[in-house]
Amino acid sequence: MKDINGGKLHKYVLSYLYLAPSLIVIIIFLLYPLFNSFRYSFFQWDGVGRMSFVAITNYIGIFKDAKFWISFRANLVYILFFSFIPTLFGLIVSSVVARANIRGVRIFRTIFFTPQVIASVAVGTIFGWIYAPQFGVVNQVLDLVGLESFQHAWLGSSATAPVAVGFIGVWLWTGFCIIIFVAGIQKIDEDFYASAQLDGANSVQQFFHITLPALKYEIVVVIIMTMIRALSTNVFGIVSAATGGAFGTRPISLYAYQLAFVQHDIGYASSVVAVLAVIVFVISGLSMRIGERE
Amino acid sequence: MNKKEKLNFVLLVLVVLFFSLSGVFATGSQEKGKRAEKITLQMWDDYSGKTRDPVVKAAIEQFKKLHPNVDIQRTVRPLKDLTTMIIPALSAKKGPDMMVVNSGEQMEGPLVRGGHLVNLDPYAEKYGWTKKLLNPSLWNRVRYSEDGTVFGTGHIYGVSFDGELVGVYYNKDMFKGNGLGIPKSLDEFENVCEKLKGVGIAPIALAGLKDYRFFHLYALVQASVLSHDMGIEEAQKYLEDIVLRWKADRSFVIPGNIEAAKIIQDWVRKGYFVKGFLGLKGSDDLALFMAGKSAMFVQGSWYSTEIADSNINAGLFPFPPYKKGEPFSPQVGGATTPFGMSKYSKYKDLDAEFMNILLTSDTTVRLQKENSVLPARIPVSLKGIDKNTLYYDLLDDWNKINESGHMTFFLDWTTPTMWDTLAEGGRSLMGMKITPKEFVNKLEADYLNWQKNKPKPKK
Repeated sequence: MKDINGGKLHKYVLSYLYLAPSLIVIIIFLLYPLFNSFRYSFFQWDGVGRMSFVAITNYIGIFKDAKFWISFRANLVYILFFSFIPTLFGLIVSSVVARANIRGVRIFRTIFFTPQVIASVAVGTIFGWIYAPQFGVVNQVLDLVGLESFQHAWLGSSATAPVAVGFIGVWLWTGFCIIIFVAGIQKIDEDFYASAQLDGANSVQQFFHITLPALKYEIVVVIIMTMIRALSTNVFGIVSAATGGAFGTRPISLYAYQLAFVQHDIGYASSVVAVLAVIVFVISGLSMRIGERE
Repeated sequence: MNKKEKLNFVLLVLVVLFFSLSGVFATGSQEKGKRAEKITLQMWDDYSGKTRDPVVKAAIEQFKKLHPNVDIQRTVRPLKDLTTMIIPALSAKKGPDMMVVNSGEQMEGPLVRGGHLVNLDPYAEKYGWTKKLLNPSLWNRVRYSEDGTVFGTGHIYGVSFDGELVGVYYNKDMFKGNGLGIPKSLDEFENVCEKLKGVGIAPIALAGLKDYRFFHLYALVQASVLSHDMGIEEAQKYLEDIVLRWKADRSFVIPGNIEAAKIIQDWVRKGYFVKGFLGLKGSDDLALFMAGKSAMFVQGSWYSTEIADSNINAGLFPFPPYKKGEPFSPQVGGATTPFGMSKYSKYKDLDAEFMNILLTSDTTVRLQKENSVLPARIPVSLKGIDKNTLYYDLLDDWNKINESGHMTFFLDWTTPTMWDTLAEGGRSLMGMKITPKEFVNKLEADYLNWQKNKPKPKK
């Protein structure tokens, strides 16, 4: 008995020892800065002088801040283009190709995944050139096909700039979604489709009654991943490089950066970041809840 | 886990710890060794590129000859990156010995209030900087009160080794080919634009997506209009009261500011800017100008070397006064991003000695002239400089500006949020989304907000 108890304790301690290095890194580089950032949100502070406690004044200020809501609107556009549309396209394309015997599948996988390995800033810079009014590819193609009247400063107006940036998200994430969904579909037993076909179900019915339910988990993962990118990391680099945040394209993350490091308002910037974090947590939580396996 | 596995795990952890700690101690001991032999001064700057980098490198070489045991280690980054690096570093009482310190509330104000910068007055007096460099009104741009609550007066916290100005680069061949001369008034400037447009040449290249393109242009037009409306002395005082001294009894909402905004909006309506300019990224406008796709490029002297090296025959003229015959209108510019000293530097006297070499040596001036930079040492001799070159135009303009003693500002200095307000407001103005009055109201709202939040003098 004694040996068994001692053995269990040993395993317990050892388990935490194995986790310790990662935990230490997470605490130092994630949790501690997160906590500090949250703490700063209750102060007025320019980053160099004294901190003045202002309680929830910063958070109240967010509700009255028109620039924050413009950024919030930009993020909603990005959620649509970086998350929902690629997920939808990914589902449609993968449902068509996953069960087909296509040659060169590995090459297609590489091509689809390539946008993922390009740095966000590089993506933003390249698309900035593609959308350039004078020599950009889009306007030149329009000119070539006789549609020069549709030429436009795509990044130079609040009507088109957010959508133009959004299309970058579709390019960036559709391939990724296709890869994930193809892998998911290929796990589904073919017998289900065979039985359904025997019962007279067409391909659309098979998609809604077999494919979609089986892909619930993959859909949740894809939506969470793409939404987080649409709210923070991806769009920051892309928008910084493509438009600098002009014409309604500035996401909340870039706004927070400018508040902190250009306007030296660390306290308010921290409150904006805290709100963004809450939005990310809520969306992630909701998505996981909806997609919970039965 | 059996005994063997346990042992392996413990050994693995020990090995990892050993290499981590040995790295730390080795570095520590090397540094100890180095400290006994050498001093390293850390310098963080944005003086890269053809115009400034050679000057800094030459100054380092000269300094090393005097102090062979002193190394100067540079970290060169764009100014925006340095702003995010320097402020946290100094707040943590770390960072460089010397660094760029952007004027106004972008950097200098917060750093002075935080007590992180050295008051350079004693060194300025020792080395005679205020006598040898720049006209007195330009020195105001690096002054703050000791408590950092009043800009434009008090102690010197930064020094600049060269000047900068914003002017109108023009394609001489396009002008000559269309019988156009240098405009001497706002009307003549608009006539030039109209004529160029008439022959299918885009008059002005401007990148709408680059924030400061608009507000540099606006400041030039504003100064021209205000000098006409108020007289040049009163206009200079008005601008200094707003930008430097944040006087509560001054307002942006005056007819001159609204008219300046209207003029630019009218230019957009008349098609004086390149097609699709609002969607142009930074430096694409410069590329268009250098490719001969537009006749003028209204921007700073920091582009002069690039333009001079391009295939076009370019010159520069100052933005004209409102009416012909009126005095030389205040131009945008001043000294380049100043250079300051950290309070936490252990080698302040050495820092100051290096700064002095960088600021005042003959080598600096020679290299500045060779690289088409505007020396802070004024007046600059034009002897030996070809009158047909862009650099001659720049130096001539620079001398006139310093002689006049009038210069307007980079308006983003006014408040910490003014950069954003001007950028967004300018794009809305040029995109026909707001009226000139609404644009000026935005500036006023920003200014009033700053009046509530600006640092107050300690009682």
